[in-house]
Order: sequence, then C-alpha cells, then structure tokens
Amino acid sequence: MMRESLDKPVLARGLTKVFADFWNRPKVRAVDGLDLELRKGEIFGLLGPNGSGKSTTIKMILGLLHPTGGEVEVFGLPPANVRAKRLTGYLPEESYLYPYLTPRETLDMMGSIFNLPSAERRRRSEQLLEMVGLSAAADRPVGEFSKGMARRIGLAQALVNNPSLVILDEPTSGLDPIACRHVKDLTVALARSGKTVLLSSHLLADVEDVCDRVAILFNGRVRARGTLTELLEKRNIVRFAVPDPGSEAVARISGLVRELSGREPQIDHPSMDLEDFFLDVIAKASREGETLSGAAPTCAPAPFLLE
Amino acid sequence: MRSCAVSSGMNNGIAAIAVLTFRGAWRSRLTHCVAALACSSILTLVLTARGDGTLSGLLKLVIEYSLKAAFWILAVSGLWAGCGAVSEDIRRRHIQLLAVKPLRPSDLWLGRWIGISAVMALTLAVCGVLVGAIASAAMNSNAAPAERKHLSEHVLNARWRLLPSERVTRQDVEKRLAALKADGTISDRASAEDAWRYALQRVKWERSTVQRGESIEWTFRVPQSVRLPQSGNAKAWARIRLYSPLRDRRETAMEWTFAAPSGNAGYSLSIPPDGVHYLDIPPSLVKAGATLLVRFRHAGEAQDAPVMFDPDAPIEVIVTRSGFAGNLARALLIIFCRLSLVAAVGLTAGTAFSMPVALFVTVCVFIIASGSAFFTEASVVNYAKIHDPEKISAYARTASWLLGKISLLLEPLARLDPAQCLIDGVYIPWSATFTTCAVILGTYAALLFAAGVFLLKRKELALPE
Amino acid sequence: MFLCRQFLALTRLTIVESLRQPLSFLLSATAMAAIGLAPLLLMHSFGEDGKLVRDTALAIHFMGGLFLSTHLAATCLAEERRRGTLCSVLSKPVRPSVFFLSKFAGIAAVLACFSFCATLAGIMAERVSEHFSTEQGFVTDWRAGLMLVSTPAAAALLAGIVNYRLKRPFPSSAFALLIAFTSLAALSCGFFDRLGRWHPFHFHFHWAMLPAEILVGTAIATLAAVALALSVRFEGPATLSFCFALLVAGLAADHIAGAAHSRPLSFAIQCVLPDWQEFWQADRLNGGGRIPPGHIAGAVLYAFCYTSAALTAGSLIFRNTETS
Repeated sequence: MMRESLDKPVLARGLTKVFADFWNRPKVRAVDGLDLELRKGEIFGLLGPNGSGKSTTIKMILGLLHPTGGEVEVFGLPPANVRAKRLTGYLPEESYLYPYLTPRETLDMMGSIFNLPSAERRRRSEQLLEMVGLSAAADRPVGEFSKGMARRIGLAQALVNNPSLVILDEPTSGLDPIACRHVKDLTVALARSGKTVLLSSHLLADVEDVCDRVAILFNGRVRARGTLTELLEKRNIVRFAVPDPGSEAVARISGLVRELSGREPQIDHPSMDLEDFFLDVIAKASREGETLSGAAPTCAPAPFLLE
Repeated sequence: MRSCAVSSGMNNGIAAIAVLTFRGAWRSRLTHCVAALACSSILTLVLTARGDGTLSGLLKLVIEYSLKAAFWILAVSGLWAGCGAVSEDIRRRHIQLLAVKPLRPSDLWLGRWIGISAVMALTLAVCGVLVGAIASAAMNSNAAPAERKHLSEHVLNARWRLLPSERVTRQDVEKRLAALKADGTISDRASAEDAWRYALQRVKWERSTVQRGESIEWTFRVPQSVRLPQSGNAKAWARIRLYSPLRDRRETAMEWTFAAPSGNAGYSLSIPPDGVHYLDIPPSLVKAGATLLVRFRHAGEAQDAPVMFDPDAPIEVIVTRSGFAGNLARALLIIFCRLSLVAAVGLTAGTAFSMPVALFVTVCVFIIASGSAFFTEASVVNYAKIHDPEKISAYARTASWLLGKISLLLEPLARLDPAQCLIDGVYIPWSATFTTCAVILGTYAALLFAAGVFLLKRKELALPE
Repeated sequence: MFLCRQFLALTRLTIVESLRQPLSFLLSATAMAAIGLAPLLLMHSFGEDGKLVRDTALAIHFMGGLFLSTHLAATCLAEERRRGTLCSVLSKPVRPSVFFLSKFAGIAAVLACFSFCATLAGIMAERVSEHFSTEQGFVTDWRAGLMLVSTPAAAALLAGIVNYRLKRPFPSSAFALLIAFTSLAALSCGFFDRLGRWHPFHFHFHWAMLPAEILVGTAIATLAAVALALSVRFEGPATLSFCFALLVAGLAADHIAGAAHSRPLSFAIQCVLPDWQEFWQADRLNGGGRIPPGHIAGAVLYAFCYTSAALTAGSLIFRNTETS
C-alpha cells in the first residue's frame, strides 16, 4: 500500500492536458509538459493570463481532470487517493456552494465528510465563521449571499479539515480590498504554521505580496519560475531611500553619484500603492467610530489552523 | 485501527451526502408539491370513485389505484431526482467541492441514492397511513353488516393462498401436441417452445371443463408454515373461478367435497357458472403438513352447459393468517424497493448523460420495459407464430424476440404484485417480501450501483462547459 | 424594419439554441422510430385496415410534441436567466416583448419541423401497416417501413460524419438531416406501391390524415405558448408539472365545465382550460371519413386565440419581472 509523503506536497512531471472532442481528436492543449514541485511550508503562486492553464493544472492536481500525459502526485499519492484528499483543502475559482444550505450547515457537512466529531465540527465552524466575518449570517441560505460573501464561505470550507496543502484558485475574486488583505494575511499565517499553499491568480499584486515562489504560465507552459526576489530584482540598479533629506543633501548626493558613476541619477518620491492607501483610509475611519454594514472579518486566522 | 477509521470515514461520507440530498429535497418546493399531489390523488379517489356498488368493491378500487397513483407519482419524481442528482451537480459544478473531499465515487452514488430513497420512503409512508385510515374508516362506516363482514373477511385481511398441485402431466401435453401437429393446427415451422406452450394451454382448457355428471379433483398440499390463528377467528374458504362464454347464466347444481385426514365436509349448491365464488371450508380440515382433497361434481340437469373453470387459477384455498395492517406494511416495503430501483436507474443514467438526456433515456427504458410483456402478446408475431410462421418477416421476429427477452429479464420484478395481494386479501409472507426486496436491491440495484460507480470513476468532473 | 430584424435575429438564436439541445433530436428520432415500429407490433385492426396505426401515429406525434414543446419552452428562459445572457440581451435596446415573442417564434419553428417529420412518418406508417390486397391477402409494405425506421439512424450517422469532418454540432445537424431524410423517404414512396411494384407518382398515402396531423401540431404550439408564459415565473420542473396538469385537465375540459354548478363558472372554466379534444379528430377518419374544413378552421382559430392570450399574458408578466 502506498504511503503518503508529507515532505512533497505536490510533484508533477511532464504534466499535459489536451482537451479532445467527441472523436478523441485534440482540440485545445491547455497544459503542456508542466513540471512543478512544491516545498513544504511555502506559498507558491501560479500566475498567467486567462486561458494559460492555471485552473487546469490545479484541477489535475486535485483529480478533477485526468492528465493526458505526465504524472502528478499529492503527498506521494495519486490525486484520487482518499488519503491525499484528507490533507488537501480547495477553494475553486467560483464558490459552487449549495444554495439551500446555510454557512453553518455547509461547514458542518464538509466537516462530517472528514469524519470530525460533532463537537469538533461545531468548534471549527464557529472559529471559521468568525475568521471570515460571517457569524451574523451563519443561518442564512448561501443562495441569498453576494459573490464576496459566498467566496468567504468557500474559503472557510476549504480550511475546515485543517489541511496540509491549501489550493486557492483566484481567492480574492469578488472580495473588497479589506477582505483581500485579510485573505493575504491568512495565507501568510497558514504558511507560517507549516502548511503549503498553492495560489493561482492573474492579479499580480496579490501574488507579489504573499508568494515565496511563483511560476508564470503561458499557453500551458511555464515561462518563468523562481522566487520573487530572483525574478524581480534589478541587480544593476541601486536605490537609496532617505527620509526628509533636504534640498542641499539631495543636490550633494546627486553630484557625488554623478561624479563616481558617470551616470545621471533618477530622483523621485516613492509612492504608496493604492491598496495601502485604501486600507489606511479605512483604518482611520474605523478609529473615528464608523462601522461596516457588510462582513467584518477578524484579522487573525482561526486558532485551530495554527495548531 | 486504520481500516476502521477508513471505513467509518466512508460511512460518514455516505451519511453526509445522504443528509445533504435529503435536506435539498426537503427544502425544495417541488418535493412538497409531489407529496401533496400523491396525498391529494388518494383523497380525490376516495371522493370520486364509484366502484361496483358494494363497499368491498369500492375499497378494493381505492386501495389499488391509491397505491398505483402513489407509486407512479413517486416513481416519476424519484426518476427526476435521480437523473438530476449527479448530472446537475456536475453541470453546476457543486461536485468540484465534493469530489476533492475524501469521498469515493461509491460514497457519492450511495449517499445520493439513500437520500432520495429516504424522501420517497417518507412520502410513501404518509400515503400508506392514508390508505390505512381509509380502510379503517370503511370498516367503521354505516354500511350494512353483511357488507362489513365481507370486507373484513375478504379484503381487510391477510390470508394464506394455497394453490392445487399441477394436474397436467408432460405426457398429456406431448400427446396433445402430436395431435395438433397432425391435424395442421400447429404449423411444422412453429418453434418448439411456442408449440409446447400452445399445446399446454389447450390441455389446461380441456381439463378445466367438466361435463354434466362428471367430476374433477384437486389436491392441496398444505405447507408446514401454514398455521391457523389460535384465537378462534380462523376461517378457510375455497375460492373458485368459473368461466362461461354463454349468455344464459342459469344457476347450475354442484356438489363439492372436501376431504382431509382430520375429516370431511361436503356441499350441494346451485350457483351461476361464471365469476368468482367463495365456499366455506371447516378450518379443522386445513392442517399444516397435511393434504386436502377437493372434489367437484357437475350435478346439473340435462340442459345445463359444461362448467368451465379458469385454466390458470381454477381454485384456491384461502386461510386466515393475520390482519391488514401488517400486510399493508409489507406491500409498502416492496413498493419502496421498486421506487428505490427507479431512483437507482435515474442516478446511473444521470452519471452518464446530462439531465434531459438521462430523463429521456430512462423514460424510454421504462416504457419499453413496462410495455414489453404487452407488446409481446399483442404483436403480429404472437398471433402468426403458431399458424402461419412463414408469414412473419425477420424484422418482426427480431423485434418480438428482443421484447420477449426484455420481458423475461424483468419478470422477477413483476412476480409479486403487492397491490393485487392487498385487494385480494392474500398474505404476503415475510420470506417473499425479503426475497423480492433482495432481488430488487441485491441484483438490479447492485448492478446499477456498479455501473454508476464505474462511470463516475472515469468521468472528468471539471470539464469546461 | 429594425424591430423586424431584431425579432428575426433573436428567433434565429432561439432556433439554434433549441436545435443544439440533444433532446430535440432524441425526441424527434424516437417519435419517428416509434411511429415506424407501430405497424410491426399491432395486429388488431378493429375492423379497418390501418386504423390502429393511424391512431398510434397521431398519439405519438401528440405526446412527443408535448414533451418537446414543454421542455424547450420551460428551459429556454430558465437557461438564459441562469447563464446571465438574459441580462446581457435585455441591456441592449431590445424590447422585452420582442424578446419574449421571438423565443416563442423560435420554439414554434422547431416544433413545426418536428410536426412535419411526425406527419410524414404517420402517413408512411399508415401505408406500411397491414392492408388487404386482393392479390396477396394481408400485406405489409416492409420496404416503406424499412426506409421509415432507418431514417433516424441514417440522420444520426451522417450527422456524425459531418461532425467529424466539418466539426458542425451533432444535434442540430442530425435534426436537419432527419427532416431531409424523412422527406426523401416519403418522396421515394411515390415510386412504388405496397407490393413493391413500380408505380411512379402514386403515393398510396391516406391523405385525409394530414388535417388531423396539422391539428395536433397546432395543439403542440398552443401548449408551448402556455409553457413559455409559465416559465417566466417558474422553474423548469414546476412549469412541466403545471403543463402536465393543464394537459390532463384540458382533456377533461368538457366534463369539468359540465360539472360546474353555475354558467359563469362553467364559461370561465371553458375559457381557461384548453379543450384538447378539439384538436384530436382521429375518430373522424374512421371508415373513410374526413375532417370538415370548417372544423379545421375553427380549431386553428381557437388555437390562435388561446396562443395569443397565453403569449400576451406571458409578455406582460415578463415585462414586470426582475431579470437578475
């Protein structure tokens, strides 16, 4: 009997997926000879434009699609193996929840599939609902939720089994900027607690903030792979950041650089990104006593996820 | 330890999916409409049915059609639910959330099946309670005492039905077959099986006809399991089915004798030689493990026609066993198993096809299955195969053969008709109930389960639309 | 002109959408095959050659058409709503009533094609059934029968080839080929008689069946209008259930109206419940009879009025319905 290997969350070699027509003739080559290896405890980003094969790769890792070529293992087991599924949590690109269930019932049902005792299921459900800020709406049918609220429940159900491998497909889709920030913080917290996260997105800012390593897909193939530092750093340019230098200091530093390097330095003021500015404004409003009418998630991940 | 954990995990998975399915059905307005439709159709029958003018006739009609209406309404809705359970989950992609959980394809299929069956069981139970209430109301109604007595003895009762030993021997049929071939009634080109069946039917008809002054005898071997109730309410009857093609239905004099090791009894009476009649038998003559001999003599006058018994069911000995409620419960159990089978058909079809196509395919299968016996009888082939087999085209012969095989394959499902047993007041033994349920669930449903799991394992659950 | 172009564009879209559903071809092919097999399986003539096959063919046409019409009408709006294409179409300068009516026009066009095939199949099946001939006694026209029963299989086969070579969608190609092959089979019957002898331009069809088939076709279109109106408010299963209840009630419309205790109530019932018996005139064809042109005109007018009322009601409800 095959044993799971917790050190290798995902290992894919030559993974290929060709969608065929009814006559089994190739129609679309969605993934082409992809090699992927995830390390334990890292956050790995799959980047690429629409139609590059990100979701297809993830679905093959989860066993929802059968690879046309190559092989993939999850914790050393085939994706369809029940033991591999026990260690995995998945948030699909759309939440695909049952509309007639409430969030509490959804989490309870998902928890019971994992053979959790009812007391444990209740505990985890409450913590997850608190984490995603939907405790107040826990008894409303999911069919009445907005896309963002449904997404939060989707995230909660992906974590109910405290998985070792978390796969998030477009996790911030439909979420407001505050919630996006929380999801990113949660992702980092999960990785710090030893979980491996595979994150797929076409929103570069999301990936840049959290990922340790990324792979950029295009047309089903990996075009670039590595840590963010390796991929993004411009080693041939040096930047000095000086708080409140004064115009004389600026002139003298510019002159020195010009003299020593023979090149004209570029001088500007660094700016915040829009997300940070937005969060700053919201934080100020919260401090002034304003409250949110929608979901209000907590900042901290559910305690059981860090156990 | 690990295998216990894995198996209890599997059971939890099945239970979770079953609860999910039940919840979804319970919260659907369509389920409430179906349940209301089933119950209201029973109540409508009670209010509108006319029957044959007797209380027994009316109640038989109500029971039979109530159970049939409940069955068909639940079968259609169970088929719909079965076809949609997996296919709609795939189309709406809910299955992507379930398939990544530690669930085997068998857990998914079984859980859905159990959930749908649970909803149908609940609705059927409500319908059963209604039928029971109607039967009870009929017993307590203001009808004449004789009608209520007939109702309690012959309808709201569960009685053993004993059939006589076969009187037609192989030699009898062979002799008759030779004679029919010699005179050209059966063509030389007719198949051996068809010719035999025809000759057997002819012999049975001849043996069932009693000329004036002649006698006929039947032997009943009473099984060991037949025990009359101790309470003193034990009763036994001979139910005879007579057939007369003549318009003149004058009463014919008959002599009946019942002989057993424990004693004898005899009757002389005159009854019309047509229809179903009941003759009382002293219960002491019907003993477990013993033999009962029933003799009939045509004691009619010169102008009386021969008495013809129904060749397939000339006489039965009916013995009281238990009440209506238990029999109704057993009948409902059999009906429930059939409904579960229908849901299984829908589930397996829904695994292979999209919902509309699955519904279409299963409805076609049901039409062919339920009509196969009728079409086999009514076809050109059935008429011509004995007399003019050479006039049947290969085309007609192939279609008839195919329908015949389908009818044969499904015959175990139709062997025991619970509604007919109820209205005839015939006891449905627990052994027959469990055997029927085991055949339905253990064979047919199990095959469908295997097919459904096979299809689900090979299906890619996240293909683009 | 602009409205007309819009209407035609949306109608074409509905036709394409309906034909691409596998069920359209499946129901049509099965109805054709069942009609084709009817002469094979029925032996009692009830005193008249071809009567039972005629009645069976009409009944299959009716039931098949009813299922097809309610399925198409019940699902077309529901699917558009689910996919979100309803919002994207209505956000364009399209009047809701034009959209709604174009849906009906598209469905009616598909049903007309189905009825055409079923009509041809019915009159061919009647020819195939056992008829007495002075030369050979009772004969079955197995040649015409074989052509008729092979039509759906041939259509499917050729559609498969078209799908393989030209990558055209299978269901719509198969449906179109079914119409073509059925027409071809019917035309071919015009060249030989029941005994297989060359007899050009003599079809030996029971042409009196045509008006009966047309009436059945109008009944199907009427039910489609009702189903479409109901689907504005209700989901697929609920629409189908209501249509089934309406079908059963309509068959007993006379009886129900007669059982009403007051004339206004009886009149109201007659107005609301469609009287399907008006469209079922198979019995008039017995013994060489024909359906009077006056009855045909009356039934068609009745269908037109009922359909218009259903579509008007549906259109008004659709205008006031929130589409998201």
